[in-house]
Amino acid sequence: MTDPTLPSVRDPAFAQALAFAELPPDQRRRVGDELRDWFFELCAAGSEGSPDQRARLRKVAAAVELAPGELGCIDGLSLAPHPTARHQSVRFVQLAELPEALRPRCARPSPAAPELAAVFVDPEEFSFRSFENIVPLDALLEPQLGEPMRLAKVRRCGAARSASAYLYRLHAPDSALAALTRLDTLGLYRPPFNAGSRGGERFIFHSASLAAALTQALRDALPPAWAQGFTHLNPVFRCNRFRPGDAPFTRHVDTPYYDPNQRQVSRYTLLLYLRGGATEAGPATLDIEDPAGPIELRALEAFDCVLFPQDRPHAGAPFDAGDKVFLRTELIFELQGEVVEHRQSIAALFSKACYLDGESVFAPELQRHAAARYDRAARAHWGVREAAAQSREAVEPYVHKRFRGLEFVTNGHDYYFTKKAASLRECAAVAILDLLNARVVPRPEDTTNDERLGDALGLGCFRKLCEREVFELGGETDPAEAIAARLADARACAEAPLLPSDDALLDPLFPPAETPAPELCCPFHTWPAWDATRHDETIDLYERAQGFARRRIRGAPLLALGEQLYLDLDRFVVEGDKIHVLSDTALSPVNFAACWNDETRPPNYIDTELTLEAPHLLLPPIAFAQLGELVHLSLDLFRNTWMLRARPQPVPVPRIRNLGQEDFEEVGDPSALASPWMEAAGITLSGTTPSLPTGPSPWWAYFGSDHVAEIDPEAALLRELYGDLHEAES
Amino acid sequence: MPRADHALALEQALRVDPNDAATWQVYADALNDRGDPRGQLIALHHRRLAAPHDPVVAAAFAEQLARVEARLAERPLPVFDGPHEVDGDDDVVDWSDVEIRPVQLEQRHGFVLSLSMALTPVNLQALAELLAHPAATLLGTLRIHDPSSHLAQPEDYDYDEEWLPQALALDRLDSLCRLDLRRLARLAVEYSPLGKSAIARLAQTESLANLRALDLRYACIGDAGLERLATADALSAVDDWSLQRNRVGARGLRALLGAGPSDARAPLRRLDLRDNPLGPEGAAVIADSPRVAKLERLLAYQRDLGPAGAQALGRASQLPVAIRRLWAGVAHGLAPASAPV
Repeated sequence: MTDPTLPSVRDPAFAQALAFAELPPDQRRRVGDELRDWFFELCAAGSEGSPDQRARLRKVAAAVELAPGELGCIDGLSLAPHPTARHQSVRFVQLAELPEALRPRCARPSPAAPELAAVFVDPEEFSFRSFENIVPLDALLEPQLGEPMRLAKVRRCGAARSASAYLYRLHAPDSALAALTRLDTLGLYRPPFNAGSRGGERFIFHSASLAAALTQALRDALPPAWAQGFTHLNPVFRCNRFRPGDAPFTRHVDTPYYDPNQRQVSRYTLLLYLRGGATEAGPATLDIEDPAGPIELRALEAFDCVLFPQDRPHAGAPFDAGDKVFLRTELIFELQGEVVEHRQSIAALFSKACYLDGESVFAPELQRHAAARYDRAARAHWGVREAAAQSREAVEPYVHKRFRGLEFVTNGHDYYFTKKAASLRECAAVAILDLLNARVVPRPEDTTNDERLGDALGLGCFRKLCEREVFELGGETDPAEAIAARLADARACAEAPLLPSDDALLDPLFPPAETPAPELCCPFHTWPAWDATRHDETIDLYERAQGFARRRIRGAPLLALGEQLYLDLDRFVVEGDKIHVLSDTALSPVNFAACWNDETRPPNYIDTELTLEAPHLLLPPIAFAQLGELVHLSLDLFRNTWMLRARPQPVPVPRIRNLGQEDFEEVGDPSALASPWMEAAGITLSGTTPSLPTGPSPWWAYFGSDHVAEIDPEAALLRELYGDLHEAES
Repeated sequence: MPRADHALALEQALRVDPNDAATWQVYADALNDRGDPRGQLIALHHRRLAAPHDPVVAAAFAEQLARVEARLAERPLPVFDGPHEVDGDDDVVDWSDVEIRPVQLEQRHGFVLSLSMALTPVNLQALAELLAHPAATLLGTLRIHDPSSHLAQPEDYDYDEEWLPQALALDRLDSLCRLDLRRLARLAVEYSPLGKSAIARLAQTESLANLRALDLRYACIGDAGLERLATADALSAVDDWSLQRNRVGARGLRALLGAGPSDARAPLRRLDLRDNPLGPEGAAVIADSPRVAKLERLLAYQRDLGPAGAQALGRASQLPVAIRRLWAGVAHGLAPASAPV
């Protein structure tokens, strides 16, 4: 539809007539901006407006799909400035993290926090690391905190002689209290993922300054018995809002914080109420279980602060009148001589909870299972109702998946394959891809039961590309037999879903350079015979660039090139009953200008032939067992001594290019010529701390300037490429 | 098989693949049968590989090596480092004070396996002598370049069907082609614009009938030149073509990769087509060719193929799976925009 008089997106007839892909760019932008504005108007009306309005908006958005070039990407999530068929979930990010072209199109959720932008993400792309949106608010809060805060004890709570909870009142400068009150007005609330077990809305934010101020206040206020080993308050806060009539937060145990490397653990929950209110009857404002009898708090004032042990089940109801707004975080303590025992059963519970939570985006019926397991895991952490925690659930949910012909069954902790389906290493790789929900480009023939994927132009995520069927097994049933029967008809894949990352891949990516022609000194003197592909310095940089790319590709157990996935079999080491996934962590140092009387530089002649994704993975060992025809893998990503790391890493593969007269005419000034591969490689290294620009570097890095940054702003890149020169001279 | 034929077959195999350890060991037996000390040298070499720290083996190897060297010294190899010549028109850049690439002889177990040399009269004479030398029985690879070649960019020549640039001295090439080159498995004429006459000369050289690999990178042969060479009977055994920077497109590829019912040419093993204006049409020729089913290596730049060309390769059922899927991965997300300048 190219009608210049395109109706408003809110017009009921609009969605039926929309052929978004065929619209000219300016109308696509208009439609997108209107969708965005409509969405936030509904948000302002409360819970995104009425069901009918939400349905109408979704119908329009379902016809909207953006091309990859129109999207941003943060933390592995693709971002859109407005709702689309895929991008349905709002997230708040730092404006500065967005591509410049995208920034003007994104809504600003709050005038008080102009550095924040609202973007839309695809929930099917969530991985366990990107599930939650933690909004950075330190820039907003720190200037307002002013003088130190103080917590004045109001009373102890609980019937026992040893208190089970404490009630404090926060005293702080008016500016600080006002800033905390304003949190409620920032427009950042979203319905929580676990909406099945709680009502209200919440958002999560990070503020180191607020945490530091409250930490100091707590040091002065905590009773001695509670203060031993206290280090700090967790700077990640959850801001919750319950309106009268909202469903209460059902009884639960908070998931503890644990950092094995720092030997730190949380012990107490802190609730800071930003508004006062009361519940006269029915469920209390706050109800904390206690061995000596329940602790009920019905009336709370603004800036009341409740502290209680984190292992206590608790529940909370909305105020009878007025919004109930409170912050929740936890007190962190240093382990002092205690031994934290890793319980495989708890880890498995938590893994399953996280996985089923993510899968519930595709299969909503899994949400209740996830919530149940979160709670059991949290209770089990504290040894609460240990007997109940050890018993199985009545039913255990599993997901039967199919990825490019490879079938498997999983619950997020256990993965089952048939031996004939794939090799052990391939099984491990697929399990990792599924658990991480890695970004995988769909092939044209990929089929899913998701109509919206269609011929999607952009990236997909692993889970989205899987066909799935949820089934349940009785809690007492040994799953192996049932799953083996289910997978019995699984056929060997017509083509392997993953290819080996071997010479068949590497050889064409890194062809040898041409033989240098010694008579080519520089473009100026040898034009028109000049040929960059045969110049020794260009070849030298090309070979170093190849080494840069090759190291990263070789260091990655899994690679993605477009829609193709590659597996470095050497990085999957099977020892006993474990599969170890190896990643390179250390970059070994590797291993000149005579006449160059020209305004171009060797980097101008090194282009990028293609870019691979070689994610840097740090994974715990994967336990496996063979049960007849079944292969059973166990992935415990939350084990005590391991923390999962998965960092995207694009790797540009170089090629030498020549520049023609038209290239110079296009830029005018030769110093404006691009250095495509160096710029792409610099992006690969972005986020690393650049080395000091000292020591020898190629002559072209310093030509005409005292600074390395003239040609390549990334000193780290130069150090890696030319580290052998530095070592030779030192 | 008669012993002599057996030995000839082994020699041919080693000329094609000098890294085949198993063939070397069998050949060592053949050499031992005729009292050639190099047979024992080869056997000791492999024993040393298996037991690198065995002093007895090391000593025996050193002793045998001395014997072989003494035998070879009785008839020295010809000298290749002759003077170079520069000639041409007035506007030619004077290369007289630049160094030429040195001669490179690869030797193993007393055999010369490969030779890289400038195409000069002195070297041609030396090559003729070498071909008659017992050390050159396994000479399978010859790389030549013409030091008088002009290193101009093909684009400057603007060559087409009617005219191809020529820098290689035709008389020298003719001298080369008159030699007995039947033992060659690999021939490289690098970075030297050939010209029509030289292309025709190569195509007519019957002694190149055993050639398996032909490297004509930067030779400015164009489609017409490739047509001539690809359909030459003398070159029908070539299954490894290096054709970088030759302005080859769909037409030349059709000649190389098209196959009729009577086509006796072998399937291709390796193909290097970098820096050629292949385009989607050229990609289609590759994708549809029955001669690509056994390719072990296909090198091309995605920018030369374009998005449609890369996709065509990514869907080519004729291509081996690994190559097809690599191009399927490359093809994704390719946009027609050129690189930023």
